[in-house]
Amino acid sequence: MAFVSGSKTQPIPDKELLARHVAGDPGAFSELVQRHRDRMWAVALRTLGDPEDASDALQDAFLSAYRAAERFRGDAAVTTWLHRIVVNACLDRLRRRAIRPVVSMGDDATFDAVAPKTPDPTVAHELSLDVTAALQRIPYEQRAALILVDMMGYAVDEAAAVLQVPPGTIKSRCARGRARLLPLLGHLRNRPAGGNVESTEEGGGIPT
Amino acid sequence: MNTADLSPHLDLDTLADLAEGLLDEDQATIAGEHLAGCPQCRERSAELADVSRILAEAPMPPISAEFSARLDAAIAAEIAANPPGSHDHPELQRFSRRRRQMQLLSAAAAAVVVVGGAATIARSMHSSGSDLAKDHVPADSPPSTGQGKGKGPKPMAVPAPADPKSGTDYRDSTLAAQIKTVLAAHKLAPQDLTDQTQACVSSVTKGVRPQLVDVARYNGTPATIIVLPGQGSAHDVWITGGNCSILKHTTISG
Repeated sequence: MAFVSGSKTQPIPDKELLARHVAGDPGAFSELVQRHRDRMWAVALRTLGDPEDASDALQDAFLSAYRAAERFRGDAAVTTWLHRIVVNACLDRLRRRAIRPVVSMGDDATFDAVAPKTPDPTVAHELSLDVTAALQRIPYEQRAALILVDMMGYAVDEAAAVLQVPPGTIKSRCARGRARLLPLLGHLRNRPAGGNVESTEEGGGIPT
Repeated sequence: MNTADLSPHLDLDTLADLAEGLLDEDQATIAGEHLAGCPQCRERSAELADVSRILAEAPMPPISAEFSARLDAAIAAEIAANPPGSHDHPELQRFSRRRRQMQLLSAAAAAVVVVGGAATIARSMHSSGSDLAKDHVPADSPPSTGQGKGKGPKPMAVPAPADPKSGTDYRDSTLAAQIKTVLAAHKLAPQDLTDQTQACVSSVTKGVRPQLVDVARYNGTPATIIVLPGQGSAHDVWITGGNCSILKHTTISG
């Protein structure tokens, strides 16, 4: 049931840290950030596909969380609440991106933008790049659901709590998202490429 | 079974919905019958399951050190501008006040090292000038207590360089006057700082050249007083304690 299994090894529960922050402990919030930023970063980068945007969104999200901490009711896990804020910040970025026309990037440019700065990308890293790039080609709602359920390993109910939709909606978005991703991830599958796979399902899901 | 040849293949959406248990009973029955006789659709169904596996196996993207430092700085600045705890929960507040006192005690211990090791810590804010904020020293860099260990002269054997510390014990009631006095008398170039203090200062100044960085005392406890140019001739004053906790943020007129 616990959202983050690692919390068992942490001396202070998330909720208490948040309470301490609200009460004025200047170090409590930073501790929460340290604890969760890696996972939140993964969510933001995979949702937005661009490290620059993901950085901005994550920073916005943590600052929002800082300010909104008093309004945290405690009936959800802190991580659920944090994820919701991160997801909303990402959605915000996507909308802004839709408003201000971006210099259009070809596929190569997209890959460059997501590419790590380190000179030695491992095969594992390339896999991640392809997945992140493919995710950008499916609708946002499906992407968000798949990131939480298939990538971050959250239960359908937990993802439903983060995205504030019924569990059935999460299931449906995951199913349709997988169907859209299949042709895009074809080259990553270990099994021999099926000769009869039609590519009628050509993405079409550029985020709006 | 020949049903596969007679009925159209299942599309990916249907296969995915089937796997997720989203089809109603009739649809599921029809799809199941088709699957039983159609190796091609079974293959595609298996490929769909692979999508979840590929997603699950994608490695976590690493967070860059640069962004990590930027995030720390942004949060430190937020803590400074909008300190937590201006609201209820008196019990917790008492607890955190005690904690803060302990942080100040540990800062006092570190300050002793700062004074003794001033000569070995060569990096001065003065020489790095306005590039200070670009240093990106992470705010959680280890304290400097072990820095001189085994390197350079023994701290106590070396006289401290011309010590720019004002020695002021700043008090709330006299803060503005004290700062003006120090500003006028010392024209202080930012002094030699530990990495820890410097990171803390960077998170406050955010690229603005400070008018004064005084490692001194505030209400009797060790603190760093940072003065930035404010609106017009005003001064933007930040006072930080241990762990870069912001003890006070205020503006004084010029």
